[in-house]
Amino acid sequence: MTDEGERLPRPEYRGRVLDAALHLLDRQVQDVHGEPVQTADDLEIGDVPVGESLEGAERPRILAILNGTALSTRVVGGRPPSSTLERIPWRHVADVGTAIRLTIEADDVDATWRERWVRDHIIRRIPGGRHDPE
Amino acid sequence: MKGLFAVALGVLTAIGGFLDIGDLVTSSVVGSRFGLSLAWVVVVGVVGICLFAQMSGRVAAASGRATFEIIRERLGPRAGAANLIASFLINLMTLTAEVGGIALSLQLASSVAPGAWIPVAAFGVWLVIWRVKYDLMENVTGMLGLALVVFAVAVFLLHPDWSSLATQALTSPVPAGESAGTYWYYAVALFGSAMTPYEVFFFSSGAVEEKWTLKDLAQSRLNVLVGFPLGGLLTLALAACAALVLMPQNVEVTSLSQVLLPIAQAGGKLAVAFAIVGFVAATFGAALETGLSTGYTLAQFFGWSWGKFRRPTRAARFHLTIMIGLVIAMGVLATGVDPVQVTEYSVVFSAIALPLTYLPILIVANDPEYMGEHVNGRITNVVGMVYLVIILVAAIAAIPLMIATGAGA
Amino acid sequence: MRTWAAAVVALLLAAALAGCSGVRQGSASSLDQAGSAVRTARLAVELDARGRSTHPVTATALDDALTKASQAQSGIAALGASTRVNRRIRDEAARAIDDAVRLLADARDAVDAGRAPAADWDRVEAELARATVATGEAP
Repeated sequence: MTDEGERLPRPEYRGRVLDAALHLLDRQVQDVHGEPVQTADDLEIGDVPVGESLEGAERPRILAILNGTALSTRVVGGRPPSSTLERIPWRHVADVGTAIRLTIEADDVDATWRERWVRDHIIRRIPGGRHDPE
Repeated sequence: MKGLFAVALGVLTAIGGFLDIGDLVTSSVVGSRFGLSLAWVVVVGVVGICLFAQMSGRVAAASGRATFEIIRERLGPRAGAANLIASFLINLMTLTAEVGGIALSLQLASSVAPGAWIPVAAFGVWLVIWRVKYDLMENVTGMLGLALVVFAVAVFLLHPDWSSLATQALTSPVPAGESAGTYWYYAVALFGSAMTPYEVFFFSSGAVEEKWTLKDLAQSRLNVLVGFPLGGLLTLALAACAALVLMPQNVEVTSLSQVLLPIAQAGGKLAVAFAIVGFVAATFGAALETGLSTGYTLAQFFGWSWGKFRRPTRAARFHLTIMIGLVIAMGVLATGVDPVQVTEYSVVFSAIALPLTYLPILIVANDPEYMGEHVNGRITNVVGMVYLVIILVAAIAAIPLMIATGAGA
Repeated sequence: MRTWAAAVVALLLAAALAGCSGVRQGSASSLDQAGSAVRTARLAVELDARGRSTHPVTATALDDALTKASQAQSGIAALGASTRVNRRIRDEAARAIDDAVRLLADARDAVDAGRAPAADWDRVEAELARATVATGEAP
């Protein structure tokens, strides 16, 4: 880790220290078989109390990996309406390496509906689309 | 024996696959106007592409991550998106040039106007991307592209005055009738055509496509370090042919047909036939590579499923992107724009986009989290930094030179 | 106020001078382009006559040469010349280029029809050369 990493407070639990910006954001997300699902466009973090003492408050947790309109707001700024976000709940995350590995299949992730739509309405209908290349 | 065959195949494919319409046109234009006085640029460009192609292949083999995934991750969404837009558009422009180049090459074989060949060429490119296995596609176009060796043979058949060619190449004078502005403009263009970014997208994605492991790196390094320089020699041979036949007659290359005239003079009909086969293979191979690269860049930025090793239904948006890219290329060519001109602009714009591609690769190749023990060595880093400076200078100089010289007029 | 006026006059002068050299430069580069096209066509036809090149290659080369010469033709037609000298330069260049285009068109038609083109390359090249010299010579 960098120098800054060493100055962080020692975590109270055993395990790896992950930098959300460095190790999670914009990282490839793969399903349980290693198939690409999406990129981690943004993260949803649990509420942090505003305007009161943080003493005794619960530590914020990562709730979900976001997709969909989350990317556009990170590029141009602003805040997307929560309803347009596509979430992969963090409990489905198996491992974080050079990619974020999930415990579920790509087709079970809501955010892949575009991929499925293109596949079912266009690609599948073109001859040869369902076969391996020869 | 089988191992030796694989090595030979890899090297030969790299030679044949090195050239595309950008190299064919740019080096002939340069040869006809500047002789071999810009030969040093080819040398600089070939060393650079060897360095970074090899580096991106190593990153892909060590981390399983292709170039554009890395660009997004390291530059963040904003700079990454800007980079994506620039790279995607330039890649689309190169794809347009290559598809147009196939049509022009087929015209030289048949004298049927290129307009009729464009849909055929685009359909052929799509069909191969849709149905043909990655390594078969690479090997066939690469081997047929080797027919361009005829340009090297032609140089010998033209019985040049070797010492004057060597003097020209080594002293690099600005020829009479050309300004320093056009000299440097074509230096940037030639550099851009040697180091086109799509080659790196393609090379790193290809490493994932062919499921390279670290064990395959030695072979890939050999392919690059032997194949690319020999490909660069072919580029010089193209320039030399133009310099020997066209420059003395004061003919300036503006079309692909002119590139063939020195070959006809040197070797007659058989040589011409070889050269045309080489043109078709080189442009078709590069159209495949740029076509795939439109899909690679977009899919890797957004994290979609991609790759030819998957059946098309398993990489739906990737294949849709490629189809749309080919349709756009056809649409642009249907306006009647001259593919040679598209090519000339595409190599210069490539030069502008180079830093966007090469900086993130250099950064990640030094990141032990991705690379483990295979991070860059010290020498590679020093050379890499030197090249980054060269690339940056070329990129910054490109637009002012283009304006000042009226695009090399 | 005065400096402004001086600057405007200087700018106008510069523009007028640029217009001057614009006609000459434009004519010269159009002549260059047409000349390169004619020499390309000549080379292609000669190679074909010696049996070193194929018919499609010759036909394509002539077609491309004709396209380039026609571009030079429309390039020179677009030049506006304000002075008598410039007009003379432009018109002489335009005449030479018109001749070149005609020659190339005839040559292409002949090759398309499978005949050997009977073109007087020397005359057209000489005309283009003469016009090129004129763009540099005139006062």
